[in-house]
Amino acid sequence: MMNFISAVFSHTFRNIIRTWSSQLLTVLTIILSVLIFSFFYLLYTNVLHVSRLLDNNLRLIVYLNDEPGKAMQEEYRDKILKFDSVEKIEFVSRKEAFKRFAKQLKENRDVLKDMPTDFLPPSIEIYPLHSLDAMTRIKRFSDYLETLPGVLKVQYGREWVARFYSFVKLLRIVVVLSGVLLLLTTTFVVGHTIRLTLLSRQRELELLRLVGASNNYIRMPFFLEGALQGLAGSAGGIAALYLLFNWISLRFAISSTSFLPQFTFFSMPVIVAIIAVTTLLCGSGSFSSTKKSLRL
Amino acid sequence: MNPAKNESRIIVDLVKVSKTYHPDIHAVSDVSLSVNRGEILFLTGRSGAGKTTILHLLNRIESPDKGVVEVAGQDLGKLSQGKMQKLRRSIGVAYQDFKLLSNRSVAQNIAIAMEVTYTRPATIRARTRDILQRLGLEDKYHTPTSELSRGEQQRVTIARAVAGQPQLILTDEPTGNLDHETTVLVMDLLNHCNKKGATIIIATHDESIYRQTDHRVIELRAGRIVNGDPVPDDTRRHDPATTEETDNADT
Ligand SMILES: Nc1ncnc2c1ncn2[C@@H]1O[C@H](COP(=O)(O)OP(=O)(O)OP(=O)(O)O)[C@@H](O)[C@H]1O
Ligand SMILES: [Mg+2]
Repeated sequence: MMNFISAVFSHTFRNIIRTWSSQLLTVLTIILSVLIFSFFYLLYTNVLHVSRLLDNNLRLIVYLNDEPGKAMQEEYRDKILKFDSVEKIEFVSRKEAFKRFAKQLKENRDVLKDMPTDFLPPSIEIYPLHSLDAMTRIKRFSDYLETLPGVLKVQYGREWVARFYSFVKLLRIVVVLSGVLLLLTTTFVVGHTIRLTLLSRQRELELLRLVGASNNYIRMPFFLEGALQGLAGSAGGIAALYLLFNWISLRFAISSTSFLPQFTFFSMPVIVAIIAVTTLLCGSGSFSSTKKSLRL
Repeated sequence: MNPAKNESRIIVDLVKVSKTYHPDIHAVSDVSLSVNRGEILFLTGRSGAGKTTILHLLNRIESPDKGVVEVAGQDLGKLSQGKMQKLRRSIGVAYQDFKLLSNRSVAQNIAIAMEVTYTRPATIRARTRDILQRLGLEDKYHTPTSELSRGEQQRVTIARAVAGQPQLILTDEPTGNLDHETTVLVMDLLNHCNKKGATIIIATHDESIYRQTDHRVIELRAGRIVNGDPVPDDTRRHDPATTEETDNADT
């Protein structure tokens, strides 16, 4: 067993050294596709993080003329639920509204000292379900709510929230596409280089078969070669992304810390997962591409 | 015949074997031939007689159209790929077309046959040096095989065939490109391996190496055995003393 492993490793390294230029090209290709994929994925995770902070902007606020009584509240609730199921409905009385406002003002609350505590209108806060397509219905929802009796005005997340959500949607598609790209490069490019080395090593493989080398003895070095390419490529890609990330953070740090939430890099488990999956993909891509060429 | 006994004594058994190449070249026709463990067997005959084809059949490089080929008690026609690979690891081959890797050194070429059996690197180096010395190639250890003469390449091929200490050694025209003295070196090496237990089949038309031999000589013509005993003479089984004599007779 030990001997098998050392034989496989020495074969692999001998081979990598012999064909280093095509190896380098393959690794660069993997670096690039890992970089592209992880760039979009990182963007996506950060944007998703931001979107969670924006959830508050998604609520609909229905300002009412008069404070609704218990029976009235039930009626409103029924009418709202008739249109769509929602995450949460909250009634805010005049007093409650005043308290919240005062809290928001913090140390400036003195300005409210001379105001009557009921100068703010009562309202209903409606939180739609947390789903992206809620955005597309929210306009119709708001139109409906305006027709209810006693409604003063309906307010909801501004236009840019909607745009933001369609951006998230788009980003998700881009992440999937770049993931597919990564999948294709790993299996095809790695498979292709392996096939080229196979061709150039036809004589050696013929000889190995002649002296009775087992299938695993012949194929394991190719698996290892692909896996090493994947390891080098994905580690390189993540490292490149990290540099890019730091550079961007530095560029934007001065202007944006206050108004945009802090961007974060991948956590360690995600990094390990990306590298592991790429390594495995490249290894098996190379392994399976030897199958036909070796007539196994 | 007792099959158990059969298995232990007979290492190569061809039963009514025929091999036809496209369109209808009868390379081997209806050949039956048995070889005992520890024998040296000479396969002779003119060019095109079918010597190489028989050696190919023994390693399943080619498969027979008819008949059964058994090596070490195993029917090659029924052997799984994995078992065949395992069997091949115990057969050393030196074919006519050498199959050397031209961009690698002599030592690396010889090592290949031992690496597949996971021999320790130190052992590989020691055996390689020993064999190269026996063949007068000790100064070519690091030389790429592309820089060798044909005679030298031929010897490296033989070195590779015997290096793994296989139970069966198949050599095709081992002395084809060699002068008399080098021929002696090669035959001494093969006899040395035989003494250590290997069965050796030598396909050749170099009469000088089998003219005075005690070993069995089979002559083929147009794919058929025309001369020699297709079954081993059990009274003349492998015996170190006899081999020693043959050694001297040959040299
Ligand atoms: N791969 C092949 N395809 C077609 N015909 C072949 C093939 N190999 C051998 N033959 C034919 O089979 C016959 C026997 O060939 P073989 O190589 O066994 O002869 P040989 O006794 O080894 O000759 P030599 O002494 O020249 O090496 C020849 O007529 C040859 O042309
Ligand atoms: Mg021949």
